[in-house]
Amino acid sequence: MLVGAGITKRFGAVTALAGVDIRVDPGEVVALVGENGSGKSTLSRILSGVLTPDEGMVELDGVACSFSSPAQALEHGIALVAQELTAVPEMSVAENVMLTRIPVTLGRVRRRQLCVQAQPFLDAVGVRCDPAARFSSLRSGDRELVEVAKALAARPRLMILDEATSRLGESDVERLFSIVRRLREEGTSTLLITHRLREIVEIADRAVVLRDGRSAGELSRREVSDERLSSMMVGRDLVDFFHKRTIPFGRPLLEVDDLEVEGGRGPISFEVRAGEVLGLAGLVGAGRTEVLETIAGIRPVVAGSIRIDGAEVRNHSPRGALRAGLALVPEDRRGQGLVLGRSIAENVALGSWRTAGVVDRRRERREGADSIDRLRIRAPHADVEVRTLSGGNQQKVVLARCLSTNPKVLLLDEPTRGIDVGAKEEIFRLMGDMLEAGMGIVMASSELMELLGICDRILVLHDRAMAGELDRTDATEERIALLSAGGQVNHGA
Amino acid sequence: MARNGAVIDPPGVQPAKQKHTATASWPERAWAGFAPFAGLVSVLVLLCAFFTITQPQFATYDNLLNILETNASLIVVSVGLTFVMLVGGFDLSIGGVVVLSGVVLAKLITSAGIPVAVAIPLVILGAGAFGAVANGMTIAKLGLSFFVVTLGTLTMTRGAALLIAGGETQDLYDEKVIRWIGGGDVITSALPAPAVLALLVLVIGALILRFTGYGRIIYAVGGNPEAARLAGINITAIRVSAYAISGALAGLAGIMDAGRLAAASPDGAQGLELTAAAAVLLGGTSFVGGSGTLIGTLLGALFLGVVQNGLIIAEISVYWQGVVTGGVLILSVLADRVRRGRAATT
Repeated sequence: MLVGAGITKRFGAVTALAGVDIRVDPGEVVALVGENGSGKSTLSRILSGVLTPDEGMVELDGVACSFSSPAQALEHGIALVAQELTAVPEMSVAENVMLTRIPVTLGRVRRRQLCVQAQPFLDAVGVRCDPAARFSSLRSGDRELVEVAKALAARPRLMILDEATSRLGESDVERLFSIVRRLREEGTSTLLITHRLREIVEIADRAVVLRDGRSAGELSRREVSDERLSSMMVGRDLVDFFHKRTIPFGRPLLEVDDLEVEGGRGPISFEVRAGEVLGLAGLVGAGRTEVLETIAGIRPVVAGSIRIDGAEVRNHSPRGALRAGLALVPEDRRGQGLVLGRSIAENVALGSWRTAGVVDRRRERREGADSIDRLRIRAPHADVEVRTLSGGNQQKVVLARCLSTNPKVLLLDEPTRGIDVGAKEEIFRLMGDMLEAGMGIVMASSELMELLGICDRILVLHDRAMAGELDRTDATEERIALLSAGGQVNHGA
Repeated sequence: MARNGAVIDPPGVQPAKQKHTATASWPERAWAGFAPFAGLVSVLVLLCAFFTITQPQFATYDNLLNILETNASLIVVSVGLTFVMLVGGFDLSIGGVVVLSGVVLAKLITSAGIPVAVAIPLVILGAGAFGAVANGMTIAKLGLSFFVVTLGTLTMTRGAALLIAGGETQDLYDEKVIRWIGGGDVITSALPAPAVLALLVLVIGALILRFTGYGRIIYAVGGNPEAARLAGINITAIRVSAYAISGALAGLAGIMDAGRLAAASPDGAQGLELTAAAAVLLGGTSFVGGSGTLIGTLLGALFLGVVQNGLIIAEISVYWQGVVTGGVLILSVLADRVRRGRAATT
């Protein structure tokens, strides 16, 4: 049905796509996968008319068509649910769903008819709300599904979901997938762009893999597996993904006693020894980030004490925590971790400058270049603005800064969120290096597989309080899930 | 940047084979340094060429000095405003602080009988302290909007200047030192004091921004305050310091203006803060903070000066200045957007 042939797109000197071919048949669910920066989003933008290709052509039913705007693509039945929300928050849900086809009589919007028309699409995605309610009043999962409803209102033949599941919880992903399955039965195709390999295995008929802006091959439903997809995306085999080494534990580096965080429901106590990784697990809102940010001096300590290498932390501020030997890789690296418009070298040095001193620029550049080599940051040199780097490489820059302060304890908040498989593996390898150098690590993550793979112990939080602690040997996905939900683990079982 | 969220790795860069030179090559760096005001410089060059060809008296040393001299206090306040805008703020109170400083200086000398050598640093420090407390603390510590706060302090300072002066211009004709600051010569008449002073302020500011830790911190705080805070930087203190610098330089400009006119007028410097903002923005400093240079600010101020001067020499109505400046300002911001938009997708 839709065929893209030899699509090439350049941004300045950078070639985002180099002669990519793609085909989507009627009623087919095709997954488009690749690392960050492999060109997935660019391709989806070209297919949906947001961008125009420099070379190559898009054919619909054998007829060449060059969309010059999203509206044209919509007319031809191609609807994009973009990576970022595109709804108008202050308009009603119904207005958002029917945005391009609001019923008007003599210049007046017919609100009642609008709601009536929007209703079936809201039903289709299973969002139960008043269509006249303001979009901004919806909870986040419903917002995403309303975006899908908006795409459905165009009665598309092909729906492109660009990372639509990345902001959805498990149950909302299920809702979305049941919509995709129903569309498939009706003959509507879906192009699904996702980072989560499990989703591909679950729903896709075929997976197309991009690497560095080129087609890296495709896998049919029967051939798809986590391992094959990962190695195609990275271009090599992932041998030991977590790089877990046996390191003898040393003295306790971080001791948290009866810590109560803002809005907390109970004391939290744990310790981390040199060479040890402690995982923080829990559902969204369980307080993982709050615990890390409290230890790092960003949020106030309500009660309890924090000792680093035996010394009590008194100056409770980000600066005090840094001085005491803590470093935090924050959850939101763009918002909290990086000055995007400045160079790699400056971002690595951020915070090390003495106000009255003169900056040793040569040394700063050299250290930036060292970080690039040591952490394998993909960048031509240390003067590059970090905004131009992909997510995984940006995360490595944050990590490089944390390491430059020679911390005793490293706090990692969702260190692998939104970064590709290859970069994840490298971050795990770096974590291994740090542990060998005698650091202790606390890592919060919502990816249970990662926690199970790399942590020596896992602390499970529920409702901003401790729900339990599991040793590496008896931690399982089920036990963590149970504790996260507020249940009890029977160790005898 | 958000216009096109795609962040793309250059294809073909193989991490394993990487061996790094520590830095970009020097032509790359030179271009990166020049690119932000390439547009402004080309317009400025064209403008100068036009005036040079059509007006014989334009491209003379005297006239160029004249441009620098008449815009000296504008350059000085623009340097202060650049610091504030780099940390993501804005200072509307500049014009008010300039006139209040002039009036206070006159009163200190004539009514209170304080020696000039004491009065000058007192006024500059006082203006700096005013900027730090009235603007800086309320904005950075209490979290009020810079627009509201500095609009308030603008009105306050203008009102206070009128009150103190009793609505009348304060005569400073007999104060030789002050008049020298506003219009004297450094050694020869080829080096007018205000121009030398303005360039000195600019060079010191540029050195601070480029080479000191404080300068780096200014950019970091403007670029991403949260990241700077988490990296252990005291962002409140840095923001307060930027408003203090702006205040102190407005105080200095007030003294220069008083010297140039040999009098302190309580209703002068009308709209100075907006002219300064035009100079800073023309120079490529971002309105949201984090990027910009003082070289750019100097070019911006010179552009405004050249347009005004050229129009006067060519006997074209000076009213055209606003039209030309406004148009070029919007065009230059647009050109910057186009350039950045392209850069952001690479």
